[in-house]
Amino acid sequence: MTEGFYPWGGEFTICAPQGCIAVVLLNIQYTPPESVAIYGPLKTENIGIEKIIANTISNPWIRFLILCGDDIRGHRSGSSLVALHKNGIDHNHRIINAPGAIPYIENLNIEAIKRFQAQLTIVDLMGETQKEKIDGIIAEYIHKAPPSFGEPFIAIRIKPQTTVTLTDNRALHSRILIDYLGKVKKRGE
Amino acid sequence: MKDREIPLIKAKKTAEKDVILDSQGFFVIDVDSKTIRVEYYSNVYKDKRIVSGILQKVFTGTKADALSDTIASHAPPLRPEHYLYLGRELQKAQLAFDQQKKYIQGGC
Repeated sequence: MTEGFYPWGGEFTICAPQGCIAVVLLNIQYTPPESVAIYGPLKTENIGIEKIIANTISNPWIRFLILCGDDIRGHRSGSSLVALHKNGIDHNHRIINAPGAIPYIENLNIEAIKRFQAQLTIVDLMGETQKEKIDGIIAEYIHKAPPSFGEPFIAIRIKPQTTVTLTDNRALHSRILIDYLGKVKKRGE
Repeated sequence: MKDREIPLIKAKKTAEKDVILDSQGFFVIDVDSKTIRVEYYSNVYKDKRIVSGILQKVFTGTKADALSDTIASHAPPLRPEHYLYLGRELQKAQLAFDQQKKYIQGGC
């Protein structure tokens, strides 16, 4: 069911395929309920944010992005993610008004960022670390049960590459083989 | 026969502030229950400092030796200390994978 979702691998856990919530963990040891779509930590204000965008917009059922825990010192990744959602990026690919040290978006195009802004609503719980409170807010947003945003948006595609070694036999015919030196022989010899 | 003098050199870790970043890029290593995943990024510079990377290749595997060999043949030539760092981290990643423990990528 989640095949095709979450194209950019990383440190996250997949739960309910049609869950409407993604949870971003900031400096917090917390396991969200299984009813969320996906959760994982955010560390860096550049590639970390890009992975969250690419993966959340690949699943149109995700409509809320809940940030909890304490923002990352120096990186300010959580606040930079909120700034991206609010302000977008400038011509230099820097997140506008982001407090992080190097909040640059280099792997995603502007359409992906616009889709992220349109599909997701940010629920900023930064500073909140109590499990009961976070669980309660997650339950509240799950209860809203918004519709899917439509088609998945695949912002980045990682394509398996087949590698062939020089010792491979290459099939040219059902009864013959030719090796890498061009030597022809019958199959099965 | 004349005696040969061979230098005996005591190991010393380079301080983090003195580490020379590789102009060819950097690697991000993740371990989950099914695989070790290595992402190779080329550097993005702004005002002559590295601020991010462009994802160029992704390698997956479960063994440090296979990943090392594959990365060496598919990534551009790296600084020697970068290769050695990568080898150390991949071995740590394999250990975490084999024991199904959490892996956190270390600094150089």
